[in-house]
Amino acid sequence: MSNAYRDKLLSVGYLGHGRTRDRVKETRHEDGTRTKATTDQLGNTVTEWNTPDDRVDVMIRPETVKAKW
Amino acid sequence: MAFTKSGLYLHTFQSLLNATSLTGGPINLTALTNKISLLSSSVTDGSSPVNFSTATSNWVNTNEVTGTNWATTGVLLSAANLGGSGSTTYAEGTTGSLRYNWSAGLSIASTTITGAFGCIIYADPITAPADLVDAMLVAICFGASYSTSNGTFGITPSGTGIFEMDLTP
Repeated sequence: MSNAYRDKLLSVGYLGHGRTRDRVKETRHEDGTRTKATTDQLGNTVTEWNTPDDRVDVMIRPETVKAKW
Repeated sequence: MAFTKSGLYLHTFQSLLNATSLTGGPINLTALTNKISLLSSSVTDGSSPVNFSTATSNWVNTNEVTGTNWATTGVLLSAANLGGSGSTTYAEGTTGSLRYNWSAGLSIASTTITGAFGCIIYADPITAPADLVDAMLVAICFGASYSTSNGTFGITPSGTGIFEMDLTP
């Protein structure tokens, strides 16, 4: 039997298949600098450094372009 | 319309198989003198420079992104830029398919680049005919805009290559 209130409670926090989030990795290096690397849902990573020049790196990871003849 | 589609340039590959006479050629997919340029999000699917069906696949600087240590016309796909001693390959990958790939990722240090949304790999040595000058090989959409600041801009190819042509579908 359907219960709208029960269904609502069960849906809290539910993430459907295929949904992902950005992944964040924070690192403290030996020289004291820290980095925050954020990999987005496309698989590309932006790395922010806490250096005086506010360095930002980017790493692109493209999918293979597939062609059929 | 936005820029959403990666692809290969038909006219360039047609000229390869038709043995079109080229100055500065032939087009060599594995040449370390080929270049890669960056595109902004202002590019539109089906319009230059990402009109893959165009009969003029010469590289153009429309909506090009440049910046510190990323000059106009882009950077060479040289051994130095491909991990220091990298190379490019064009050989069978997945069985029955020809795969273009790099042995190491592209890595350009100390760049300041704003709004890179995609890239074009092109045959920089080609100087004639006009429709194939700097013949474009492949355009890749990154799917979002990316910016560096005094940092490394890199591209790591997928394990299955930059592009792959399935000749035995």
